[in-house]
Amino acid sequence: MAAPATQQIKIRCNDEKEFTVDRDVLERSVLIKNMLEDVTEQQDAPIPLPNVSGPVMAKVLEYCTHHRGEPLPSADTEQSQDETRKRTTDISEWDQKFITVDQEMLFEIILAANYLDIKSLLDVGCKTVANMIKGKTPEEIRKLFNIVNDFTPEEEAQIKKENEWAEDR
Amino acid sequence: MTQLFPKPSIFQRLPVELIGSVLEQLDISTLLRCTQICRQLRLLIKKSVALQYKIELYACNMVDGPPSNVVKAARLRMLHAHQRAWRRIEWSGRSSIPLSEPEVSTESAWEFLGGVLGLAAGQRLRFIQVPSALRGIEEKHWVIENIGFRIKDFGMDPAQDLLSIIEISEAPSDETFTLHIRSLSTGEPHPLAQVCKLPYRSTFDVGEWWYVIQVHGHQVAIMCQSLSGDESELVVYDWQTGVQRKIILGFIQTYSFLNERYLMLGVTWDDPDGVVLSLEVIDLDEPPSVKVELSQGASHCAFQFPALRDLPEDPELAIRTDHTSQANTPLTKSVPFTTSQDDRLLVISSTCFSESKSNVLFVPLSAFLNKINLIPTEFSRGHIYPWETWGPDNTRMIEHSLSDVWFCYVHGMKVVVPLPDEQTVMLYDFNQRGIKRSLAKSTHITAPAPPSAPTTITLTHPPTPITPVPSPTPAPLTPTITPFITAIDIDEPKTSYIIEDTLCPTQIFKQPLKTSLPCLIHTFPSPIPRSGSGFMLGEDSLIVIPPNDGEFVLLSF
Repeated sequence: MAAPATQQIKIRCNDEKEFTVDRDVLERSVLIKNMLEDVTEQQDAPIPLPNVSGPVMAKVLEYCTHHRGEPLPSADTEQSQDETRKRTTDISEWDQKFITVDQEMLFEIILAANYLDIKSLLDVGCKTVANMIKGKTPEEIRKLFNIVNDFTPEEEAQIKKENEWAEDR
Repeated sequence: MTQLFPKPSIFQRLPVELIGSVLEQLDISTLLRCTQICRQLRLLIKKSVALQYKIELYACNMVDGPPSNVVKAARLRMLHAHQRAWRRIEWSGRSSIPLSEPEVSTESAWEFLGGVLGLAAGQRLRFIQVPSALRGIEEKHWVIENIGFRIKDFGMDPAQDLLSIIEISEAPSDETFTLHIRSLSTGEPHPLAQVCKLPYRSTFDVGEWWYVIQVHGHQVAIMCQSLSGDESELVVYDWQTGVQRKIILGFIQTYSFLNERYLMLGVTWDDPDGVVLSLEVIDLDEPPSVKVELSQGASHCAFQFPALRDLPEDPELAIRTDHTSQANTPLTKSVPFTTSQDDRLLVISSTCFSESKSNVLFVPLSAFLNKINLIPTEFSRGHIYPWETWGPDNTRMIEHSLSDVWFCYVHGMKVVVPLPDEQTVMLYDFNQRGIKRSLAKSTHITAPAPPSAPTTITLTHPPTPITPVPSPTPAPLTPTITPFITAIDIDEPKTSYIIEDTLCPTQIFKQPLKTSLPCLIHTFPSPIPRSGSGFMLGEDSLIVIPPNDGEFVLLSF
């Protein structure tokens, strides 16, 4: 049975932080949507979300509230994913502003979106990381993400040479 | 505390599939730079089918097809097979297309575009969709028995299901011609055309014209040329609205769309210092007048050829290119991949008939567009690019002896050129990424095999010097694994590269011309070694037109 739109759901994060949220906002998360559909009786106990912390969940809920009511992506086949990607090459202005956070938070949001199964948010996160990388040199990318170079100078020179064909003239 | 175990990067803490999702958003050059960051990322990119497919498409100048039940791994395999077949010129099917008597008459017209061969005679049209074992396209035949009028000429675009036909009224009438906008699959008025019958009355009254029709996206252009060769006029329609975008008057020898905005015209000007060969660029968006008279300096910009010799007659220019619009044609609903339209080759020949010689210039569209984009002000006029500024570094020129027939021989960045010895055919490939990648790989090969002497190449063109480079992976001559290949009756074709500057001999220009655009050449014996055979090139096919045989020979890949 469809629940009334005003139904409030309680969730609990891994740091004991609790939120009470409108059901349709929470249902942006396919994970929670499926959980709620499996539950037939009204429950008072909060839904535990052991993989998400309070501050990250607050951010995720901000996103879900802004996008409430928008149609969810249909069947998660490879095709529809590809199509979504082609249609939305850019990030909208609101999303852009929303995702302007420090690196730690950005990656936490991506992980949470992946766990909670919120495709559009995951997409915004991945695109944002991709935009940070675009046009940078390997050394700049290493610095950006604190990645250790484990190639020998010879290996690196060799790989660089192999890739030259794709560099702009 | 010292950092014995440095904190792993947050980026590397992401699950592999999420790193994959990030990498899929990158352009190819950044993606390849990521293989240089660390071993983990390098391995991840190497093992990802989706990323490898993306890289391979880019290197082959291809784009992904529409979504279908063919998954990425299968597409990647098909792409490798497609590339291998074209590298070795191994077609998988051979059939002949007999022509009816009206179809071989001089009144007939035909066209080969987007994998569809169209033949028109009288009021009848028939079409053949060329099959492809390697891209999963079925052969299809259909006929439009009676279009309702006599067909003078026609143009088409299978991607838009568009058939545009020129009708010349047989009874005396006010119109020079009528343009009909029809559906390619049914012959009925095109559903997207607001007006499907567009009558046109020419400015000049010269009696009989001949016509050249071209379709590019929303635009259809018709050039009328008087039989005397003194006058021509070119009209560009938006075929969906029926609106005339431009009418150009003047003596135009040849034309081609560069994109939705720019049109290129081949013309000759009489200068005090002699005749000038010029490629004029018209800005179709330029306000305000629809009708423009072509004169020197009136176009948006012009690409000029170098000084000509004293010739008994003006050389004749011809521009050829293949601009089919998109991957997803209604006829072939689900191809795995298709030739990219980001760049394509323009083949520009300057011919002097009395000398029986032609200089053929190969130019990537991007070379012209890059120069046009440098012009700072919008709607400015009269900018001239002399040969030295665009030719030597961005093009390659060969000299060619005239054969009787030169057909639609260019597709994407490839062009097929039969040699005058009638035994040999050359497939030139100007895809710069593919060439650079092969050359980079080939330097890793230790002890290169002794280069087989490219005797067939030195026979005529291309000009010296030629550096034969062994193909990166010496391909085995034993039967291939691909099940489609039924018959291979030719030797393995030779592959060579031209990367140095060459000096092209010429009977047309004052001096031999230096050009330097790298290209790759596959040489193979002519499937029909007969004098005057013409060739047409498509994405999945070579069509050979033997003279006076009443049939086309179709080789499909």
